[in-house]
Amino acid sequence: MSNPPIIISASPHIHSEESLKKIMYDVVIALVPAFLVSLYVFGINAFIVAAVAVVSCLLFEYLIQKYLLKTNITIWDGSALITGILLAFNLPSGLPIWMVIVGSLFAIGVVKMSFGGLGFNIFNPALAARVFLLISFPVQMTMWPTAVVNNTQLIDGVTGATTLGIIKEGLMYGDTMTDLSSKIPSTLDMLLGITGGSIGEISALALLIGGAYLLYKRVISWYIPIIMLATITIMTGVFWLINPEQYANPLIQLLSGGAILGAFYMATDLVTSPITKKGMIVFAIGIGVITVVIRLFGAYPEGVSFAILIMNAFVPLINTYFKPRRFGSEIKSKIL
Amino acid sequence: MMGKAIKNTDVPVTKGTSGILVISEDEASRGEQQNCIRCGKCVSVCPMGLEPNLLMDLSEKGFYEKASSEDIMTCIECGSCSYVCPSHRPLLDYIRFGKNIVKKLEIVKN
Ligand code: SF4
Ligand code: SF4
Repeated sequence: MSNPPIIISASPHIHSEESLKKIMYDVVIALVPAFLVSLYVFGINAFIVAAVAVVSCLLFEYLIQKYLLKTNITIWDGSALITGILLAFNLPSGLPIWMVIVGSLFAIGVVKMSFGGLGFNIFNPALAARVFLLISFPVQMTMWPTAVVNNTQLIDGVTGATTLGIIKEGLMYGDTMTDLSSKIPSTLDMLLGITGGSIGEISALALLIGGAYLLYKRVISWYIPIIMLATITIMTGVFWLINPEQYANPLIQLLSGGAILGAFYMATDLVTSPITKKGMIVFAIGIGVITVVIRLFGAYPEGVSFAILIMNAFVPLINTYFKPRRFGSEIKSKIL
Repeated sequence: MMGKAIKNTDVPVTKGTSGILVISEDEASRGEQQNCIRCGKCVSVCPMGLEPNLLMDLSEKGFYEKASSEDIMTCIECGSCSYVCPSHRPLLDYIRFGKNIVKKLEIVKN
């Protein structure tokens, strides 16, 4: 009679239930509420852009792994799926399909796979692709279909500026915030998502629900989103208090544009954010400051994606300089 | 979790043995190793304030001097890092391996 084989390995002998897949699919679940809002607001177009982005991201990853790198196919680990969804979330719903495909190719091919695949990319693939598209096709990338609730056929050409765009342009032409307040959506509309913008960024409330889920599941820690949003609030608050006619109030700054989407889903991307708590704090403050500077003084109305990409580039440096405190290191240095 | 694995039943039970565990194949088998996603979970659980992901990389690639200056020798082999890693990386295996070599190198030096 032969005994069943006994497996022997070095300790630890057991493992937590955590896995890469679980983390990735938790992120996907967290993105669902925001996606539902955008379906409601932008109709079928949002669905088409998202579907094209997801399918082409998965496809490009498969093709590159199969024919170029000849490695294991890991398209089902969820990371390409998230890249696809986040890319779609950063695009206007009326974007031509081929541009979405070009964006996916850039995200997966250039930003992710050419650095070595999952875990080795320096920049957030979805964001880098968004900035790439924004620079290549500035006109199409800033044609925001206005919110057409309960209307699945979006009439061609019905486009409008985003809240931040209206503010930026108005202030440039010498309007004051009081003049502009009638043109921008109300705070409640911005909270619920009845406003213009890219697919995923419109509803602050839906994004916050997803963010709370991620925090509850401990996929992300609170350091990056909360500190980043706090930095934006404090900085814009100071400017607003100095001159409320020239600067939008912090609430508008928080609810408009990609601040919340960026804070909870982009900046917290595990791969491209620092590994230690101290590093995360520095990283989040940096993003907040750069965002505010671009929004208030830069040429673009929105700066979250640039800010996150710039700070992504600093992550290796942050990881080198902000180490965790080694247990007992003070005593050791005293003795020696 | 951190007990010594035994191969056969000839190992005696001594005064210090606090228990014998038999772990099912399901629990004991290791998941497939994937790329480090730099989630920082291993860093946040390490009681010694080390960066297990970095130490594993350094020992795997042979940078033992650097591993030593990153305090690889202070690892107490508690296994927490390997336990939490969502990518199923054998962090502690490589750290043990690195520690052995660092120890040898230091003996050679002295
Ligand atoms: S827990 Fe695993 S995946 Fe996360 S940083 Fe450490 S080694 Fe990398
Ligand atoms: S085994 Fe070593 S490196 Fe891993 S958590 Fe424990 S002390 Fe830290």
